[in-house]
Amino acid sequence: MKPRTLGKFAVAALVLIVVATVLPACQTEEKPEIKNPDTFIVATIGGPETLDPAAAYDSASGEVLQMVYETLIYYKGEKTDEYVEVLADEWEISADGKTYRFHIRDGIYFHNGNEMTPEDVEYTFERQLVQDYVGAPTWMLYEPLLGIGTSSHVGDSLRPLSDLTSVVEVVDDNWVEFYLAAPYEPFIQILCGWWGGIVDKEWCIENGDWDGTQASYEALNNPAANAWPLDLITNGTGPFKLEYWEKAVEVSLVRNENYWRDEAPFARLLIKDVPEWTTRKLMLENGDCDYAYVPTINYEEMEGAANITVYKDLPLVQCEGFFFNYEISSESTFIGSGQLDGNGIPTDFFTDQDIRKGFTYSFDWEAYIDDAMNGHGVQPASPVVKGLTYYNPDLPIYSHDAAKAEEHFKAAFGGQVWEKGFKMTLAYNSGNDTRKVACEILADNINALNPKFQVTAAPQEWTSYGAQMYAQVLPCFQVGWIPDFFDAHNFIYTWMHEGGYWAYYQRYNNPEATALIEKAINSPDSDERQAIYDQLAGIYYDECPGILLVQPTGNRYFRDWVKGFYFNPANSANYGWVYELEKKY
Amino acid sequence: MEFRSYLIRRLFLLIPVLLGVSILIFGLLQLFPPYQRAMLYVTDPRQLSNIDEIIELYGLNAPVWQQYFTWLGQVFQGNLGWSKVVGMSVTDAIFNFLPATLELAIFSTPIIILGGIWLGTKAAAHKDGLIDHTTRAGAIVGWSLPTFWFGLVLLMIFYGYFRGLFPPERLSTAMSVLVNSASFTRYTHLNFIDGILNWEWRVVFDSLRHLVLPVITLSVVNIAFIMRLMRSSMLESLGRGYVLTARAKGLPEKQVINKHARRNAMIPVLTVSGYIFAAIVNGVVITESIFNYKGLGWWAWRTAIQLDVSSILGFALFSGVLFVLTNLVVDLLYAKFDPRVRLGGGVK
Amino acid sequence: MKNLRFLLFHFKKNPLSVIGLVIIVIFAIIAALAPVIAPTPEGQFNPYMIPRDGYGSTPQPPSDTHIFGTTQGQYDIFYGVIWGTRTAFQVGLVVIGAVLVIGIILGSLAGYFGGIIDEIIMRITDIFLAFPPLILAMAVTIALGASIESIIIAITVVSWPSYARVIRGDILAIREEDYIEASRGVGASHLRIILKHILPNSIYPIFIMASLDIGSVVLTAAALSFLGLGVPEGYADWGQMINFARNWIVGTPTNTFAYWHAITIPGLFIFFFVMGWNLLGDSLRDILDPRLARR
Repeated sequence: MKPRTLGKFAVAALVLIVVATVLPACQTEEKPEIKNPDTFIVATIGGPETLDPAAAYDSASGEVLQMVYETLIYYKGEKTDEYVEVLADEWEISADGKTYRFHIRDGIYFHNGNEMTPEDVEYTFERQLVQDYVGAPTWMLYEPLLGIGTSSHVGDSLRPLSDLTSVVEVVDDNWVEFYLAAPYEPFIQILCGWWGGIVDKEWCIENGDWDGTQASYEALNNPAANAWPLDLITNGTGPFKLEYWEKAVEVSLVRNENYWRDEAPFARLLIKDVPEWTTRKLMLENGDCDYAYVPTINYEEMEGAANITVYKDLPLVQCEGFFFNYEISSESTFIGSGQLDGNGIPTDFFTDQDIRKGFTYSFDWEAYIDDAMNGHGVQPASPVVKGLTYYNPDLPIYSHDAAKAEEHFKAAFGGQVWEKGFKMTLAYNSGNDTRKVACEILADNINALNPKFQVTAAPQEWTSYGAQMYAQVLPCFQVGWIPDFFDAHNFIYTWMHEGGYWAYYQRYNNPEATALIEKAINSPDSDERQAIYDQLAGIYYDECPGILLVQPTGNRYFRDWVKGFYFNPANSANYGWVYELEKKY
Repeated sequence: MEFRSYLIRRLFLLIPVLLGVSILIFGLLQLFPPYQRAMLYVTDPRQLSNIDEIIELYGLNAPVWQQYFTWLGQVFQGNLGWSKVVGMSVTDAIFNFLPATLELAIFSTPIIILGGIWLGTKAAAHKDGLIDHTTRAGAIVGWSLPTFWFGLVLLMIFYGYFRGLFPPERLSTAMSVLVNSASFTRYTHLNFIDGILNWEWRVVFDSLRHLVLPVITLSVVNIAFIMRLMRSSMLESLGRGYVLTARAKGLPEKQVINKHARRNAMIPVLTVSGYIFAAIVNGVVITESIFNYKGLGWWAWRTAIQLDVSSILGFALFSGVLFVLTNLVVDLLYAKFDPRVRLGGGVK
Repeated sequence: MKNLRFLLFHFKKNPLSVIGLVIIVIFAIIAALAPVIAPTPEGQFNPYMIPRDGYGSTPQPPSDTHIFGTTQGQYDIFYGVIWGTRTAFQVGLVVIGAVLVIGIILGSLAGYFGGIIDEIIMRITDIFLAFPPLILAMAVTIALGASIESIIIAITVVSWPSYARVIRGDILAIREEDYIEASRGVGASHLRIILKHILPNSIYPIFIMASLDIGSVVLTAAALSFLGLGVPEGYADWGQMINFARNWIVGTPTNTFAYWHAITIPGLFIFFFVMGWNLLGDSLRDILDPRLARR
């Protein structure tokens, strides 16, 4: 009896000791219970504009579409220059770089149960060329397939339908071929965007989309905003399907039970539109969301927050630029008298290279990146920023140099600028502190050179800022660019081609640059392309049509129970690829 | 017969007012330069490259009267333009956001009116007593409170300090998913009522929890207003002959106040129903913007700060027409049921 | 004159009115002495723009350099509330002045002449009164662009009709009095009758009532700026300062009320300012309301 009792006591004592020692340890390491383990909740700002993959051109729409629709291939992991097969299981590019062939996987079904076929792939791209909505990403298909500057219109009339349907064909049963107008290296990247998401031909036609006829082409070409048949409905092959979309509130996606790969790790993905920062912050702190969008200005207050995982200083592939307007509208209210008389600037003020250089040498990147960006960014040397193919880290950059600025201002307009002085206003869109600081830095440094220089900064409402930029009213403007694909062409075209988005609005027109850009993109030789982009960077440095302000970096904030995040700048969702995320400790 | 001619006269008078309302809204629209009015039709920055085409297409350079009739024609077809901020037409947006605001109004209006009447009666019955002084001081404080600040302070305490006790927005995440699921029918889009109809008490409870702070914020200022009105009207009524007679007959004070004095004192309160409506609409914009409560007011605020011209003018037009109609109904009911009102030229 | 003495008598008897008056006088002193209390930093051109201490976003607690702390964007709260007092008086006085001028002109035209003029003016007021005031004010403000002038115009646009109506009603009542009939009888001109006889007899209660509305005008202006529709960013304005603070109500993970100063201080300024006018007004309204005055 006794030994047994003793044994009992011994066991009990041992258990007690173990519990006593382990328990506190457990308590200190104990994590809050995982909330909503089967749902991934995102608190972000803004919602999708449309769910039609051929019309959507905003990242909020893209982040939904990338879950619902799938592309032929996609970027591999964190890479933007390596690919994995998705709906295609094999692909090849012809030696001349003009034919792209994809072998379409078997046994994949759309959410409605229809089987995905090569005809669906052909239809997907033809449908986009046919619709060619003016604000859509469709130009990315036209440029490689029909040539730079093309669209569904030739002059005022519609391009023949056969032009559009002959660039992509089904061959040998399960192969689909694209025929390019000329070699176009980033075409493969273009196919990775959500606009490359494959739709179901039969279902589209049932819902009133293009049915292959000329009449339907004419009816559906460039349709009115949000009058697209697929505006609100989806039917893809992706890991999630749309459950509901309550505009301005949330989008709910549910797991596709018949997905061809492993099922998604969450039964539901909920993307909530929460414009108030306070609410998003509290949701994240309380675990009511798994990811919250944190604006750059709020990074500081998130320091030390408990139970949050932060991925810091991720290299965003973006560029913020400051552009000089070569042909200021004479109606501008920002140029004082409009004359070089000390009370204004002439409309051709910025055609003088010395003026542009004087401005550029007056900019202080150190103060700008430290103060306005809280250190979250680097100074770019060329519009081809880090993260794009043909990025070159060894290019020269400008730095703040008052002496050189003075030298250039003294030389400008044959010395008249220095003698008479000038007066102008730099506008920024109100509420954008980063842009405001950039204007103030320039104004302060230029005004310090000569008491006759009077540069001021003034806020404008965003909509009128945009409209004034388009109307050539702003003498200078600041805007940024987010990549469509990760090739130097996407940025260099925007900055330097006469038809490029920003170059056009500053009326920068260098025929040499334009020709070089067109030559580079259609060249199959990567050494030649590298040489041309470096040459273009040199032209930008010498001519200085604008100031390259910053390539920003960003942070991402998750609950610490979210695992599996990696950063790929191509993902339109800031929280990564939900299919590969998990909630666990 | 007399009422009918009054009704006809009022309906007839409605036409110039509604026409005037539309001219005023259209006049405001003219304050925007053509390129900004063209923004009403722009859905993507890329379209701005041919902004002149848009101006041409929608006749934004045509004579003003011509533009007015084009615009009015669109309005009559229910086309108020596109609300860029929420990605739907202005008409759809109004119907989409109306239920949330109705829900807020359904809870606030009785609290404002009944609470105000009750407090006003109490104060008048105890004139210069402790209750009177307290309620009057309370009314002055309530009347002076900036609604937007008061709401934020409530949030700071009940959301920040008591970690999410009374949260902003309309529903918590789980309930939002539930009401949108296939098994839940949204009969009215008023979550509170739909919850009852679907026998989902969690939804009812959750929507009530989200309504607490907005309803308080919306009510405080307006209760103060009704209370003051009721008090002075009650004081006047208590001095009237029939009340004195009732008192002289030895009726209990409670009965005198509740039966005789209050009934008549309430008439001025009813006549300001239109004002209360306007005050609630005003309050709704501020309250919903503070609590991120996605109703009409929230939408009006978001569109206003993003210069979404078509939405804000569409909302102004909508609330203007609604306000005119509310006033009409109030006047008609008043005329029908209050024998003291002389019909014909005498009113207004 | 008799009326005025009656007013003062009642006024002195009511301690709340005296408190209200004291509050307003204090605010008036703050506004007048703003350049002394919160001097504008050297080199700053517009004294109504709040000086900033850097560009960081997180509000900083009260310290020696910023006695009320800073709000979002490092705007100095002390400077903002002091100069905001001036903004409040400006908005209040200009709006009430403008509204009175418009109201008196249109109201007396309508009331005195009656008939078609009356009908037209009253229908116009109907149109303006057909909108919930804040909504119309929002629309006017965004149409005119962000500035203090836009707010003043917007509030004037929404407030003049009710004044015009009240003035019209008073004039209608006085018009019928014997001495007006008498002056008409002796051939006095319309203008003379309005200016000499009608207005002096109806204007003074309106004048007092109107000035007491300064509180609610300032409240509406603050609401517009709070919604982000009023003044340009950084302008010394109480409503905007509360708007700056709205993102900071939650505090830090360790301190729930870490940013209390950013929200509380400008709010208290608005509250006391408006309450001052309301305290003053509460008793004056009772006195001026003839039916209640006898009691």
